[in-house]
Amino acid sequence: MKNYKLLLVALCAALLLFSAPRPRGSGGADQVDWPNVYIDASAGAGGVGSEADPYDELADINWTTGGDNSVFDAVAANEDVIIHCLCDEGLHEQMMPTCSGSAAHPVTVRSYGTGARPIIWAIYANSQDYFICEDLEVIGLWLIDGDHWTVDRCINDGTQSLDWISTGATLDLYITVVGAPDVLWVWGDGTTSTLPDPGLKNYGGVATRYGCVICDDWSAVTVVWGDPTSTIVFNLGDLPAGLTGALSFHAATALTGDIGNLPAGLTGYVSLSSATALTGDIGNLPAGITWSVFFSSATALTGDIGNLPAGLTGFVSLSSATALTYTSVAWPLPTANATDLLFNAATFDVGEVNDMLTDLDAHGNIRGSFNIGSGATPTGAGIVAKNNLIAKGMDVTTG
Amino acid sequence: MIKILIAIFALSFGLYGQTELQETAVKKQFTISVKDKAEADKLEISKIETSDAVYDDVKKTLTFSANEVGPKMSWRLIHDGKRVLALMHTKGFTATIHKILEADTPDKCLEEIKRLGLIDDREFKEEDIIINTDIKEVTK
Repeated sequence: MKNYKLLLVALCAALLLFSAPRPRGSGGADQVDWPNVYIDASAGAGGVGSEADPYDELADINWTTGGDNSVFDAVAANEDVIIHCLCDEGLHEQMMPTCSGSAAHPVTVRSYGTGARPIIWAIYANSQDYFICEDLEVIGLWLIDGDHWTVDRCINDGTQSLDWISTGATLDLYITVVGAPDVLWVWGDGTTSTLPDPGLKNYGGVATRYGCVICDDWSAVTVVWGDPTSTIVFNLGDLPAGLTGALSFHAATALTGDIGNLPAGLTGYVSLSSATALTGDIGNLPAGITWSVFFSSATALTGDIGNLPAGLTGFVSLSSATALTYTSVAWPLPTANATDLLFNAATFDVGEVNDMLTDLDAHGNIRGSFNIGSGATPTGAGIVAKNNLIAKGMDVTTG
Repeated sequence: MIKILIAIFALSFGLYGQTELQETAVKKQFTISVKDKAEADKLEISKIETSDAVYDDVKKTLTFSANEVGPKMSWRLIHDGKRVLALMHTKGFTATIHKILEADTPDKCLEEIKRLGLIDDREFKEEDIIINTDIKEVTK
């Protein structure tokens, strides 16, 4: 009788433990295919993530520590987690991982089967690193602080294109496309990345790297976006107003717009150095820019050098603009802390040339190059100032 | 016969032995006014070991030599023997107390940087825009 009661208690306990509904990931053994996880959007809810009994959505993945099929724990145990998403079953979902892979064991998300590739319409990562996404359709990447992401063969099968990328980190991202690419630009300038060939890569078709987007201080950037369905022709006024950090479209030649329409909150390095068709008065640049501006190819920029943002330091290149002016009334020279001042093509008259040289000599802290090579030949006080600047170590180019 | 061979050898050496970029800079003398020797010593020109700067305590002047190139459009490489200071494509007269070399193509400047083993750790390289544009045009 005693044994019977014990048996009954044990049976009840077993029932409580195993038959009551429990949230996924809260306990139990990893499924048989672990660390492979299978997603089939057409499968019913309640799968365990194995190939035979797959999850039906990415949201089922257990990114946290503890529980069954924990990606976090698997990476910590040096396992290679591979998430397989079945093709042709209409997966259309976002993915929000909350743990990272590792350099030796990145987390891989890929498709399997045949037919239309699964669509991940948004990947959000905030400090999650080391992921590989391949053979999917990824529409958007929102990598707030995600490093070492590889997005490989994930765009442009003729029906999808990468619509936007937003990032808050230095990326090792590269994108490989199938066939003719429908990508406007990609992250990775080839200098900060540790990948051997960051940027847009060719895969089975003609690929052209139209341009690149780099940024020296991603931590301060709110959003940078672009339209990948056309060439780089957006207007500066189309940039999001909330952009608050640095901005670089260094290689983009076809950007247009008035530089006065740059987001007012920009504070850092601004490089639009290959764009030839920029317009506007340099006095309308965001007043908060404090580090280096490059408008090296823009010929039509106008304005008084003295009206440049007062806090500018570093490199100031307006080397193709012909119609710049300088008024000594705009005192003190706002670019006094710049290391290089390049106004190569500006046709300053002799008064402007002499004023710039004397102002720089009196107040400048220039250590590099000063170029007004298309301006008039300095005279009198301008020559005295020029000689002083040369003795201070600057290289000075005058007409 | 031997004399002819020696002459040919000597001529070849003269023509091809010196492959470095030719120095085209003109050395010019500058004189500036300074308050005293202490002010003169603070100037960059006074910190260069090979500088010929001479301070005149009576006239309160500092006389020194600097290099100048120009005025035609050209590529100009400025360096201090160890580091690249600037590489520019410009017209006008460029004067500097550092070394300056003038060339008609950027490649010659890049070769010179390599030949001299110069460190190029400049944060910004404006010439990249022009060079890259040229390359794109060539490969189209």
